[in-house]
Amino acid sequence: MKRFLLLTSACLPALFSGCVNVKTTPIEVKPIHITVDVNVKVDRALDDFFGELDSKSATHETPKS
Amino acid sequence: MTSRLLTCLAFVTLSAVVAHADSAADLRRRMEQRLPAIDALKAEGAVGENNRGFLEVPPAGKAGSGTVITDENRDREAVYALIAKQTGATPEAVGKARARQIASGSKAGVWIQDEGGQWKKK
Repeated sequence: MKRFLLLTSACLPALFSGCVNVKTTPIEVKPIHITVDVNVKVDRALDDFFGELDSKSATHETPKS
Repeated sequence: MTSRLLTCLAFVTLSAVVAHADSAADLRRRMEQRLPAIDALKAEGAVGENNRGFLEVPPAGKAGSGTVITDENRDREAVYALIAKQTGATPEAVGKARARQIASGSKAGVWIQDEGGQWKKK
């Protein structure tokens, strides 16, 4: 009985320390979304500014509708 | 006193918005006036579009196109800065995005610098 208690008390901390170390890191996707959002905004702003100029340019293809 | 301060603040904000709009319109107007000259230079291969959204003389091109390239690039730089401010991007990122648009939209025969820095006729 005494030997059993000794063995249990020796194994218990090892068992718990194993549990404590199990940790998952969440995947951070927010910055990717922000980058995509900025790129879309930039493309849209460029289209707004240069769209008419590009359509008048002789060296630029007119976008097919 | 507070209402006078608010009116003053509103006026300043409105003035800034109007000045900003004028500036973008001025840039577009100047670019439109310059467009035939730039098209002619591009068509004869004297000037190309680099991968940062600016006009540049390609290796096979000839220098001495007057102030057209310098003036156009200065205005493009201002446009990229305006768009960067609006969108939260950097002017360099805006220029690169514009370079990609130009590269995909240009007609055959125009000198284009790819993202790796190589010049090719489209």
